Amino acid sequence: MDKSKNISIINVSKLDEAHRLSAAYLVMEALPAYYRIDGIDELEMATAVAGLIGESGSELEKGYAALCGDEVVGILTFLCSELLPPARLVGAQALFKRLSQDSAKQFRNHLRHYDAGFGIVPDGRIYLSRFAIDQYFRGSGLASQMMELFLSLEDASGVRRDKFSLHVDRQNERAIAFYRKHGFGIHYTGSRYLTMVRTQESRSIIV
Amino acid sequence: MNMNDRGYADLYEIILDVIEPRLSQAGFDRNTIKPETDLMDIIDSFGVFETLIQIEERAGVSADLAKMDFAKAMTLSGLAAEIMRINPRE
Repeated sequence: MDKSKNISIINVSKLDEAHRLSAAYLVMEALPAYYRIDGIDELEMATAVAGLIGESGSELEKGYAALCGDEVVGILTFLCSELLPPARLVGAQALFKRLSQDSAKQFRNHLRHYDAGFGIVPDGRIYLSRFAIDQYFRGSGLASQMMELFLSLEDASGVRRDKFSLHVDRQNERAIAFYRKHGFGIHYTGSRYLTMVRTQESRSIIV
Repeated sequence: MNMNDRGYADLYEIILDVIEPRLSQAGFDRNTIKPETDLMDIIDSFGVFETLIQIEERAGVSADLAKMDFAKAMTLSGLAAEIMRINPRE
């Protein structure tokens, strides 16, 4: 069965409420160390995250979602790297305010000790903030389809379209290989994540 | 006491109170630190998150970053000014 047959990819801003909740679970999967917190119910966190998808100023404002029926089976969000510091803070504040009092307390405590381990993010790039594919659809070609869509972004924000950056878990060899296949090379090694960038040069090498 | 009872100077002092534990660690002194000092030279981004929550709790004002000009809000004096701007006196 062709898993990608009944999939449509839309802009995250077009997601309805139910699809946003479904997408939120994938967003959380993309960065579990940040979103999965002892003492906070998964549904409550997902509901809070869903509220940020497509929201102006957040890391989840722009991107694509792959839909298969009622489920979101792929999510890819991005922003200009210069906007990452404010977006991260705006997102953290928005999550804090959307959680119940007890959960907000847990979230606040979590962030006191949270070490993103991201290291540097080069300026002037389009930054891939979240990317996750439903387990069932991995290996179906959906990830490459969404990545190609991301890489074909128009130059709408003064960022050269051939300049992209992302972070990937140092232990995630499969993801690193995937990004290498799409022209990314390692730019910086952080404590937990690698910074990978895509340049015109790296694109020309991958033929 | 709410924002209507406070002025810029009060708010600036509250910001200094909140970040004081981090000042010496970052090589600053409360009595000599310049108002134009970049917050990110003192604390990391999640430290800013914690700082904003504490300002809201102590000063009874909104410190909603989504409503502020981020570039202006990232200095000590700029943060006080931006909080004043988004919490207008009645």
